[in-house]
Parts: sequence; C-alpha cells; structure tokens
Amino acid sequence: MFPSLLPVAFLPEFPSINEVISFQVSGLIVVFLALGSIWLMVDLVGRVFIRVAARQVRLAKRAGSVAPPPAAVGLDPSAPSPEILAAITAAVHVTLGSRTRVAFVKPVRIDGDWAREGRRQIFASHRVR
Amino acid sequence: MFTGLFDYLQTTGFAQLTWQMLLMWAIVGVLLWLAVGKGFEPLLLVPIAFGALIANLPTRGVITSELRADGVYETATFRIEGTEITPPACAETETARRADEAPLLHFAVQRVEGGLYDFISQGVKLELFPPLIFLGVGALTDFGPLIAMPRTLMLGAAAQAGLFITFMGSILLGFTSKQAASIGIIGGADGPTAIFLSNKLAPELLGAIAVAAYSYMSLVPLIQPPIMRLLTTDKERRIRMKSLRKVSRLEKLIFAVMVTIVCVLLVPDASALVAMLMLGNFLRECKVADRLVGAAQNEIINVLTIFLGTSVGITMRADSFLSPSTLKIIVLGVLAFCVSTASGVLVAKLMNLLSPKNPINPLIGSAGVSAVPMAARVSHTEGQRYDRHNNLLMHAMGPNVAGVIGTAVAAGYFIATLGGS
Repeated sequence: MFPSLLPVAFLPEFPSINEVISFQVSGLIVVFLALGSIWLMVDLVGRVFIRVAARQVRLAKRAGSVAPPPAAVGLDPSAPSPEILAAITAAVHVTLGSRTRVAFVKPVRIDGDWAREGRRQIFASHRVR
Repeated sequence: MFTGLFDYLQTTGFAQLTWQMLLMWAIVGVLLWLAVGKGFEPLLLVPIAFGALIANLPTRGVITSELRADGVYETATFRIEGTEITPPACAETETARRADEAPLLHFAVQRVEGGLYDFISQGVKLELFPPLIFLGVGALTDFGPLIAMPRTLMLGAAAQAGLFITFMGSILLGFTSKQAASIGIIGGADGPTAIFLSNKLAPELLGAIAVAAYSYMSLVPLIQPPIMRLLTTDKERRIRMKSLRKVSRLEKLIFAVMVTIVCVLLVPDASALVAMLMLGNFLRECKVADRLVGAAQNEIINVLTIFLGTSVGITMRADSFLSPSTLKIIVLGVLAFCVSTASGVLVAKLMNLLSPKNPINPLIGSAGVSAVPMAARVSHTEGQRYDRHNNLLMHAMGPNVAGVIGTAVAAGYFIATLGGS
C-alpha cells in the first residue's frame, strides 16, 4: 500500500462545522489539482501533436510544389481499369488540348443523379406560399 | 387433518409476510414502472427493483441476512465448515512466527453453505463489480472531445462541488462522516462509484444510495434544465463553440496512461476505479485488441450490470430500507444533483470571464455531472432550443467524461480521509 502524495485532513465520525468546511475545501482542492494536472499535461502533449501535424502539412505542401503527386492509378479497387483511363485521357487530350492534366477519375453513380433530378423537378413544380 | 394443514401453512411463506414487505412491493412496483413504463435507466432499475422484490419475499437459499448487535442488517454471509488441522509443513513457519503475532489456524474445508446471492453479492462486498464495470465504461468511452478541449476538465471538477456541499448537509442532518460522504457521492451521478464508496464507508445505506443515484440519473433531463435556464442568459445559451480538432490515436493512448499515473499518484484509493477505466479505454484506442474490447463493451459489462443491480436491490430489505434515513437520502440526493449542475454552469461562466476570446457555452457546464451520455445530451438539447443549428453534443462530452474521472478522484479522497481502506 503506497501513501498518497497529498496531506489530507482526517475527519472524526461526528465532526464540527469548522472541520467539515476545512474537509470540503481540501477535498475540492484535491479534485481540482488532479484534474488540473491532467489538463496541463494533456494541453502540453496536444501542443506537441498540433505542431507536428502542422509541420507535416507544411512539408507535404513544399513537396507538392516541387513534384506533382503520383497518380493513384490502380490503388483503389473501384477505380476504372487502365484501358478506360487511357481512353478518357485520350478524349481529354483531343478535346481540351495537350496542356491539360487528368488529376483523378472516379465513377459517377448515374442512378442517384436521376433520383435527385426527379426530386428537383417535383420541388420546382410547386410554389411555396 | 386441519392440524396437519395448519402446520403445513406455517411452513409456507405466507406465514412470514409482514406489512413492511407489502409496502416494499409497492416501492418495487414504482421502480419497475419508472424503468419499464417510463424507460428511466431500465438497465439498472429493473435488476435493482427485482432484487428488492426478492429481498422482501420469504425466500430460502437466495440470501442470508442477520441483525447485528449494532442494529445493522448484515447480508450476504455464508458459512464455511471445516476441521482444524496442523500440517507438518507449517511447523517451521509456526516456530519462525513472532511471539506477539496471532497463530494461524489451518482448516480443511468440508462444506460451504450459503444462498445464491450470498456468493454473487461478494462481487459488491469485495468491491469487484464497480471496477470491472468501469473497464467496460472505459472501453465504451471516447475521450477525444476532452483531449481536444482539455480545459473542460475544470467543468468536471467543478461539478464535484455538489458532493462536498451535500456532505455538509448530511452531517447537519445527523449522519456520520462516512455516511455523509456516501450520500454526497450521489451528486457525482456515477452509479458504480457510488456503490464502490458506500460499500466501503456505509454498507448499511448501500441500497438507498444506489436507488437514489440511479433514480436521479434517470431524471437528469427533468432536474437539470430549469437550473441551466436559471443561471444563464439568452445570449450565453446561443454561444457557438469552435469546432474540435481531430485527436490522433497516439494522443488518446498517451492520455489513458497519463490519467492512470496522475490519479493513482494523487489518490491511491481510487486506483481500482481509475486503472480499470483507463485499461478499458487503452484497449479501445490501441485498436489491436478488438476481441477484448468487444468483451468489455458487451459481455462483461452486461453480465456484471445484472449481478450488480440485483446484488444492490437485494440489500433493500424492508427492515433497513423503511427508515427516516432513506427519506433523508432521497432529499439530499436531489440537493447533490442540483448543486453539481449549478456549479458546473457557474464555473463555465467564470471561465468565459477569464477567457472571453474563446468562450464556452455555459450549458455544457451541467454535463460535468458524470451521467454519461445523458447529461451531455441534455446540454445539447437545451442549446438547440435557443439555436437549432448549434451542436453542443461533442463539446458537452468533454466535461461529461471529465466528471467520471472527477467523481472517482473525489471517491478516492473520501476513502483516504475517512479510513475506509
């Protein structure tokens, strides 16, 4: 059994009002001290993590300005096949010119768009009074 | 023939019924109605109420209770029968023993006799259930909002004022200091901690304290809002707080270890509660022990909740529960809740005076009472009454989980100072 780090006020079975008040105050001090120390430490650790995260973002930005990020072709299993990507890139090259760069390609759920368009038409057909 | 029938009737439970038992059945009915009909904390009130029903029936083979010389009902005692032995291997130990020490008695156990709850209730008596429930609570709790905004720890600390004010009230009403501490802890709104502390300091009040704590926890949505409205202005209730930053996994792991070390060093008597809470949380956040987290979040906490609830309910015998002290505990419990709520809100306002550039919505101060997550939900709902687009839930979770740690620390202080350990 290890002793507490705090000197505490021991209380008799039927304490006087003064004893009770001093007991209450020291109890609140213990609670505030415990949670206050945790606050201090969490805050310090949090600052370190925020600083590290900010540094990583800065480094990533700097790296991004030197070289373009590699294309994520093939990483996503739901991504289109290389043949489809080649066809899209060729179409973009023909229509928009050689200075255009394809940053990403993602499949579009056409069925959701139709439903959204249907709702838009229904809402547009009523005037709110 | 009639004599035989009469003799048989004497052996049935009807002969042992008393009017106090019937009154307790009515109280059980009210508790069951609150739990089942109104949905107030049913996970705990149902086992407690059912345990109380069992306690007030002339059962056999369920629980043993006897009146001690000091007028306190001792429950959950079992008998061990055996014969004394002197094993040869112990002879050297006996000679090495100092003369002033009492000699050790060696028994060969032949029979252990007791009812079902004489054994199950040992989980409460030996203080096993509350820390194990805290393991599950830790595995269920996300401390992310608290880590993202650590100053809300002060709101969790402020809400403990209710405990200490009620302590004074209880002393004035004639309770001993140990009983007063056990009653005060109701204001922490943390059932396992209340049971842990009262079992250590005032086991004779365990039933009444547990019922008051869980009943008031379920009534948080009714008790807190009027106090919150009374202490805040319309403008304060509309304060929008900054979005919380994302907290990394490593930060959460460091937090669990840090809280364990700080709390155990400051209040060693709260070690069992805090260590298990943080162990559960560490398992959750390390993301490599999914099976253990699943067990802590579901099977362990669910099984223990049933056993804890019924073990507490079974202490509510009419002889001990139907007394003026129970009524006083019910009144003092409300006081504890109200003061805890008010002090959380007031300290939030004080923090706004000290730090006006980054204000806190004072409505989240009331969440410092650790009824997780109901108190946080009350803060959120109350905030949305005044600004529908103000989402306070995650902000309120910070003081809410801080309250759990604060109540455990306060319990440790009470145990350390009042000689419960």
